[in-house]
Amino acid sequence: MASSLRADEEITQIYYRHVDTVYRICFSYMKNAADTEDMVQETFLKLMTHDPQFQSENHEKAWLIVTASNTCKDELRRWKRRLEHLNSQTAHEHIAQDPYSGMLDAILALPTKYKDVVYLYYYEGYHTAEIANMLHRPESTVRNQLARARKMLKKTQRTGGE
Amino acid sequence: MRMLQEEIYHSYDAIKPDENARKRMLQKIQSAKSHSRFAGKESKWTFRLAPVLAVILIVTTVSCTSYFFSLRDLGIGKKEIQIINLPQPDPGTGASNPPQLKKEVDMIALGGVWNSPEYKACAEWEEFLQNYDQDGSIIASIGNNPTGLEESYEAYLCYTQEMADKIEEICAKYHLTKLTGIQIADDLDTLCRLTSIGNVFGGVSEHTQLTYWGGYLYSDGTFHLEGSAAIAGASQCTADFQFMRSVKGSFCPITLNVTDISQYRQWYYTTSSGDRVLLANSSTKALIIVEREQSFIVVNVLGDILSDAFDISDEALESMADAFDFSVIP
Repeated sequence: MASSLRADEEITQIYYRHVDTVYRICFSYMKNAADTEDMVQETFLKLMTHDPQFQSENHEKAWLIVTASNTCKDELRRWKRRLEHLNSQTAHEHIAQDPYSGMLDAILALPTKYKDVVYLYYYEGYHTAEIANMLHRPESTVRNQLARARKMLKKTQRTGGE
Repeated sequence: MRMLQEEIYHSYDAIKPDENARKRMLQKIQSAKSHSRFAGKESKWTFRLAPVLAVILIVTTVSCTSYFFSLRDLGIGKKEIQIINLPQPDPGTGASNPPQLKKEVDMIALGGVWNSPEYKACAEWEEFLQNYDQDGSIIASIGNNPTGLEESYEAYLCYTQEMADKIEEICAKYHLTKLTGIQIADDLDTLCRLTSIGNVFGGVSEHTQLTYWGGYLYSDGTFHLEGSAAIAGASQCTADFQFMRSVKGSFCPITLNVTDISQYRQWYYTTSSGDRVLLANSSTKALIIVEREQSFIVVNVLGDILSDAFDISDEALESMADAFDFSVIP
């Protein structure tokens, strides 16, 4: 069993290649550094326990993005069950002196289903067809979600930026 | 538009762990590995493979007020989608299943039933999309830059004039109007007021409590809302859902992946508010479908949020349907 699992060195390399990406995804869901770190760890632990074989670095990255997103959603569902509320948490420990904090708040406040598409489209530069494949959503849904998220963020831009 | 794009990019760019956090997380991951804390732990992810059961053939009737349709009447064909699976380690050998990369799924139109102008428009647009820019070279050359088409074709997200022209052609051909004037509705009251309908959550259900999470609408009254249903009693569960109302005479381009139409149990049910609805349930998805005089409504039930597998009983689905009052929608 151990022979099929990745060596520490390989895990470390993958970790450093993608930790910032995984961290951003997790932060957009968890909204605070402590929970984000837990979810980042959980994501990489899944990488070790599932030991998926990747066809390319892009495939590796896509797997981690989807896994990080699902890990956070699972955690939030558990929170929801315990009737805990996320909205009160707005600590931004790792976003020092951010001139875009108004927009960041708006991004963090987006409904869950919009978070991935906005991140993947605007930050990672994926196209809607690629996002649809990654998130198992119809491309039309992705495009609609993007449009609606953009609308919401524009509202923030107008009120916050003027 | 570019400014918004830059703001979003820089906002994300500001999110990053510092070097200490990076090291701390890596140490914890390595420590967890060395202690085998997760050895043998099963993944929560479950493959949602389509299972069982048969297709129900519903016969259309001549009466204009009692048209019977089935899920198959919404089908607009199959689509190949790419799957990024979380491989499941084999409990015996520890080896992972190879990731399944492609899968063919059934798609349905959400604007109307087979042969309606709304259905035909959706099918034609979907066919156009399947054959347009297949290698992605056009969108690659445009990138994520603004195209100038965003405002007028927001619901369709056209990125070339050719796509916009196709939308116009379809609308003219089937005498449909474009969806325009999107608005966000922060609460159900606002949504109902802006679309001039009564309380759609006002059905009578002993066991189901509906909660509104968010929604948006277009100027013609087409709307999409998301919420959850807390279902008590013997079929206790909490299910998230998407409620989509398409106004007849408008071009709704939205399609839904239903995995495999042949795997659904389907039956007609009369809700406690007296609305006749088509219910469809499978091991991957459940749907509540209603045709009104001026609207076509599909409720996409996303499953029990507290369960790893999709697990909505037929009784729970009926209870959920009871909680809606479809009669308030013309």
